[in-house]
Amino acid sequence: MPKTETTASAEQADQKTETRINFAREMDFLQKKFLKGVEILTSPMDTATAVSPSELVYQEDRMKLFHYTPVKQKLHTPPVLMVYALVNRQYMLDLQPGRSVIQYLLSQGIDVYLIDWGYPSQMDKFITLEDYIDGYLNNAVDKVLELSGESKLTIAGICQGGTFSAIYSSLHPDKIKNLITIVAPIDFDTDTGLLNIWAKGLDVDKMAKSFGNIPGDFMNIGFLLMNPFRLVMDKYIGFMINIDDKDFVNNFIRMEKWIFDSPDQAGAAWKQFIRDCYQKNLLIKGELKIGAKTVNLKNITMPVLNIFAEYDHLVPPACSREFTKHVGSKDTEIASFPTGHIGIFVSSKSQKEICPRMSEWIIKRSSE
Amino acid sequence: MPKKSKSQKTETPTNPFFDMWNKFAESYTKTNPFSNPFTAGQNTGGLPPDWLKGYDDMMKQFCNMPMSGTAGNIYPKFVEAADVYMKLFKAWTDNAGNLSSSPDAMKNLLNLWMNSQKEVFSKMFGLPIPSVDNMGDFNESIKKSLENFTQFYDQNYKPFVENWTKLSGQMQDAFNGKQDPAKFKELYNSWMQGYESAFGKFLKMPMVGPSRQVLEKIHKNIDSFMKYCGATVDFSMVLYSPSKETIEELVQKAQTILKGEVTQEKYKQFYELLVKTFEDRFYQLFKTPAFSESIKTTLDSYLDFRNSNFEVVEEMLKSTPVITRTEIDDVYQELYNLKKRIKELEKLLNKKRKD
Repeated sequence: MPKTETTASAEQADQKTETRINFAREMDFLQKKFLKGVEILTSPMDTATAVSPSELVYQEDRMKLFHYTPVKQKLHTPPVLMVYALVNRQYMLDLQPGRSVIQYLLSQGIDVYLIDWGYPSQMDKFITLEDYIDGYLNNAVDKVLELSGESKLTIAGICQGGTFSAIYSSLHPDKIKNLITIVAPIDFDTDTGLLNIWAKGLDVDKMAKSFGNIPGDFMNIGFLLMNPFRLVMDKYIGFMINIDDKDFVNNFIRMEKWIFDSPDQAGAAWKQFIRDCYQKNLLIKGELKIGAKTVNLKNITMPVLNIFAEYDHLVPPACSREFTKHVGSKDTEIASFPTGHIGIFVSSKSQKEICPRMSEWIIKRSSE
Repeated sequence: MPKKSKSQKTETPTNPFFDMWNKFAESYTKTNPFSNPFTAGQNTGGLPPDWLKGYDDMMKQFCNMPMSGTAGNIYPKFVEAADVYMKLFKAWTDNAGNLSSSPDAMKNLLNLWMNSQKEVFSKMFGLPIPSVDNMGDFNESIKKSLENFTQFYDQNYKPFVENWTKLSGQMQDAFNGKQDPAKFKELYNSWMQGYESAFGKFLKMPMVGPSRQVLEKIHKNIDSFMKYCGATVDFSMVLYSPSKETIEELVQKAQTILKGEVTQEKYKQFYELLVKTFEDRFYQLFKTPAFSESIKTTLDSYLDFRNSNFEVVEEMLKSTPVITRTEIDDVYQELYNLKKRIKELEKLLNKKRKD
């Protein structure tokens, strides 16, 4: 055999051996990582949510109103009532120490109340938007005013809760000192969001007839379908890669718990929200009816802070950005952040930029 | 050919078939209680005259029995028709001998037979049987009837039958070694078209009778299930083509990355590329009207199936001591209204107290 051929085959053999060794090392590494992950997942985990102390101050049917225990002696007035969406749960705002919007506001001397809409059962399928906004929300506002001794309060609505807050502020401007909308859809007529596109074709009557209440799982399938490769595959690959990191695993499981903690949607209210808002875009047109009342956004004359996320795929910026142009208030402010729908509350930006911006705005319009 | 003798002309025909019927008719006539009641002493065909008389009396009494109700209407017809029925054979026996004599004889025989036939069946069943005279109308009726049948066949079965012919070819394409989903979709669409134009129509046909509502609900359920299956196949196909195209695109792009030794870094790049390629391609797909339409059709057909399924289940539950959703919904609705009313009254009361 010529010398050159001998050298080449020896090199090939060396390369094969090296590949095998690398492969064995990789397997060893993965095995150790996996075993560590199993150890973390089978040991007690820190995945508690809604950790800030609070007191139940009012309850009506499924709706509960919580008052958070202030951490400062002197409080800014008026109090802030936070209104979450009917979709998913309100404890996103108080996910964990260090990642809590509520905790941050409390630390700034802001008096915080929060509505928990509860889990509707089939018995609640006839509850309408009027019941939610002019009933439960209105009664919660009255309760906060009664407990605080104030004549007006600051209302801060998140996502669909922001839409509710805007509607409420328009119907009862006499009770609202300031309005904050956070990633709230107001103008639904956009083709930049998949939910906006898909919702247009839904036969809401048929769905409500079939399901009664719209199942939370159905809503989740819709959300996952919006980005299946990231949300169904990539996310869990990321989890496997970091499975040996205890903090990562705790945060991941906590988040997973929140994401799939999805109450069913009361049939009648859901039907009206999809039809009147997503399909007919009546709110921005000034034609939305809540019971016998027509919602006119021009009635919103109190100061407005409108916060939206630039990479929001659930409520695209186009749904929120123009809101302040439609209100009657002269004191309006828009704040956008380069994050996603959930990132507004739980990203590192949330505590460093978003919460400070919000609390500054509130304090500026409050008195001690 | 030898000439026929005079005596030969009056003889009964030699045809064994007519012979047999002639004998049968003759003997039947003799014992027939309706048209030719026997009297003792007459030709009894070998039967005892006393027995025949007794039989004859019994039948007369039986025939004269007052009948009422449905039987009263039917029985006389039956008796009358049986009488005519015998005439039918009498016609054969009287004329069969002339069968071979002339075409006119043949025509007369046929006419006689047809009229007898008409009389028999008209009386028995009230059916308008055509005579030779109105055979033209009869032919026209048959022609119309055939046309109607053809039209019915064309509208209902033909598409399905034709489709099966087409399907057999498509099946080979769909289930051959390649298992091409596009071919499968074509096959399924053809099947659905055939189903829609044939059996699908029958499932929508109004039912009759006491179980009408249940049957209609069951049919609706079957029909909605078929449509739901069709919609899911369509939906899968909407996803299939972009998936295939994306994989092809990914393979093209990955060739550069995966050249030479495959390292962890390269694999990571490949994975990022995979997610991004699929994400971009499917985001574009999800935004299209075609996808929205498909998702809407699938969801609608699922809900139709689900709703009609509930209707059938509730129908079945009616006879059991299990409460149905519709019934409990009435309770929920009532509760909702009552709660609302109580809240309104409470508010009014509180306001009055404050005032």
